[in-house]
Amino acid sequence: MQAGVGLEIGYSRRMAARLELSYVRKGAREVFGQRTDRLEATTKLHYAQLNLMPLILKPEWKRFPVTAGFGVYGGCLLKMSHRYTVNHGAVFSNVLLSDNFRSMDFGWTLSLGYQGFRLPLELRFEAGFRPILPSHGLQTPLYNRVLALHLTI
Amino acid sequence: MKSRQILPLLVLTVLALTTCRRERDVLPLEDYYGYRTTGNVTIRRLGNGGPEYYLGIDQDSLRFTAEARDMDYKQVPAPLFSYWVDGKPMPNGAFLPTKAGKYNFRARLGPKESRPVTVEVIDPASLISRLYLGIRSGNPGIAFSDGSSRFEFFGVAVGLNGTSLPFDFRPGIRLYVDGLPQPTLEFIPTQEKRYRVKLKGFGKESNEIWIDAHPPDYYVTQVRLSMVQNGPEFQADEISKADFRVETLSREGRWVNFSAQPQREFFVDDRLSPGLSFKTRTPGVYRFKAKVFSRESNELTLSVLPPSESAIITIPIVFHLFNVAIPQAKLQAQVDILNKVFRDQWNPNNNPKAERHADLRLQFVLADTDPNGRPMPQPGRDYIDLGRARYSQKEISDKLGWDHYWNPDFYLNIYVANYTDTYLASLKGTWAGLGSYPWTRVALPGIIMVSGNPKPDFLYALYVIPDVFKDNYVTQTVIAHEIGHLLGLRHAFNEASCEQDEDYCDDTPAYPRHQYIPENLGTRRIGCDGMAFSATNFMDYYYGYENSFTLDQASRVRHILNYGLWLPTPANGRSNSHGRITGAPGFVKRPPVLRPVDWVACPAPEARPFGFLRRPADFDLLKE
Repeated sequence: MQAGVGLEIGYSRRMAARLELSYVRKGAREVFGQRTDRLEATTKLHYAQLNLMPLILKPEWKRFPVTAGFGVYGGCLLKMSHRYTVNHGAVFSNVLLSDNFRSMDFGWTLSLGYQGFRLPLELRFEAGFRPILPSHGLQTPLYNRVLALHLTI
Repeated sequence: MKSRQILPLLVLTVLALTTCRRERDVLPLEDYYGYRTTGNVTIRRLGNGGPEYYLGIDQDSLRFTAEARDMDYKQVPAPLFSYWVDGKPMPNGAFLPTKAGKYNFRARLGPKESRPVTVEVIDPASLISRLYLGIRSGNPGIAFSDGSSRFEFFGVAVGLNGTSLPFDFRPGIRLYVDGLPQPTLEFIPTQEKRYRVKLKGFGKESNEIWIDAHPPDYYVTQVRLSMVQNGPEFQADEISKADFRVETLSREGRWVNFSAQPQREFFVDDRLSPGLSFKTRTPGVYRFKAKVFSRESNELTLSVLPPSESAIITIPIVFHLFNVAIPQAKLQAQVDILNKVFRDQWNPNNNPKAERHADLRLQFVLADTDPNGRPMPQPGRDYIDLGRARYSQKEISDKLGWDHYWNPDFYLNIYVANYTDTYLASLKGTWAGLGSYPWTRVALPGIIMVSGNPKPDFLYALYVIPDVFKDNYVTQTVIAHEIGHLLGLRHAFNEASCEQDEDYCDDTPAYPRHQYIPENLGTRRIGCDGMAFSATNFMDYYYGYENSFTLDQASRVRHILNYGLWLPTPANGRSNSHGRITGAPGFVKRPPVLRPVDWVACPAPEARPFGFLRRPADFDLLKE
């Protein structure tokens, strides 16, 4: 979930740049398993994020008024929570885990938009440059990967 | 919605569905990043938890449990561990070994892995050099063929290095009687014949025991009753004691000790008595007789004198201080405590005493004359400066102590040093006092009997650490406890089991030693008879009132004072009613070969708080 404000500056009718400041909640619900045991974990990451999209293309196809943009973002981790349960038992909160996450996240953004509706829609993909949870022993490093649907008012 | 608007929506939806991971994909537990906060994972073997597993003997699989703690050392709740043996997963945390070897077991919690627990799987056949068969109960010299004799055997698997192996071998080894395997280690003869009994297992056979079973009357052509007293005079004080022995003459002309009941009966003044010992509080002449299968023994009589104030025996003490500066006042203070303890006057906190508490009529003084007959400037004090602060108990008992072994017929030698170790390796440096048992010229259960007047070939003395001189309720009775051992008293508890009362005193309730653990602080004990009692005995370990010797203990001490060797007692020709030494007692030289000693040590466990006694401020050492 995310919400924020943005400022768009047009270079021309077909090109623009955009700066956004937003609150973004990222995270995942995951299930880890071993034989018949199941561990269900919910992680929530709350960021204050600055998006800079220096180039947004707006080809004027009358039948398909689409947009495409590319940019970068930087996010500051405001808060993190992690809860887990084993075999649907009691829910535990791991408060120590937040110390393991990086407080800053940087990445790139790719967006595809459609402006044929009254309120423009945009599908945006974000990917971090570096892991938010660095590699640790045998584990795969964790990156932010976000696919979000934006509605612009 | 127009058709041209549907297409982009469709594209966006397909993109979303294909890009997102399905929510309920199950990821390997090793990837669960929440366990990164785990500080450490520990694994422990369930069951006996030992580092060894014996094939064919240990029947169950090796099973493990694990525990994880976070950085704050709080236990991680409800974790999911996986267990691994030599890098391979172990389903259900269990492993049934089939081959000898060393196996490393680890627990994993996500990315965290425990240190390994190594279990050595041993094929017992590779360890056993021979089997030994012994008899736990039953007398093979008297086996009745009518089914009334029961024999219980025990076995020892002797290892390659000659030591007995530390495991219960029964699943792998069986008892055979005349070649037939038996279901247990028990056997009851039912025919008149010679039975051949042995153990077999792991490709080995034990020694053979023969049991000649005969009808009961075969053994009893004559009955003999004999008696041993714990002193030359017998008083009606419940401390004088007579122990009886019943022997029978078999048809083949052999005298055998006959203890089987109910065939053996013992009578005091024609009244049946359950035991074979006698004490009384009523003076008079008593008659004793035994009967075995209705055949009567000779009759013994005993004149029991009225109780009188028996002489108080005074024992001079010399403290050999190996580079330990104990003030003279502290030495005297310790002697003052001993004099209260052995006169039944020590009870500083007015706690309940044992029901049969006794005055041992023994007192101590600091020796005032040295072995050369010279007056000592500081009585009882032999300061030895060898230029170092610490000593091993072994070097003192093997060598250094002999250079300062004042004739024990005149002195009680107490060696005080900061000890680094002891003969009993398991105790390390944690013991407070250590001693040995006496030798006697007249039989006393649990004590070595000798004839004549041999010189000591071990250092019959006490060893204590300097802390026992502290003004501390905890340590003040350590020396009294050790002197109890030196005078023939054993610990009031049982070392291992409840099979017999190991201190040979009926009025000190037996209880298994494992009850005595710091977590069970308190004076309360549960005896082998299931009855609760308060620990009051000086020969118990510390967490008790430590204020009583009993009448049965007094009987044993009286026996040693009358028949024990190497003690400054009247029985050994020392006139010591005042403790003064005349002449030049001299030293005892070290013999070329020393005898291995049955040391008895009293460790000092870590201090634990307990509130039922007045806890002294200085509480750094406990007499266990």
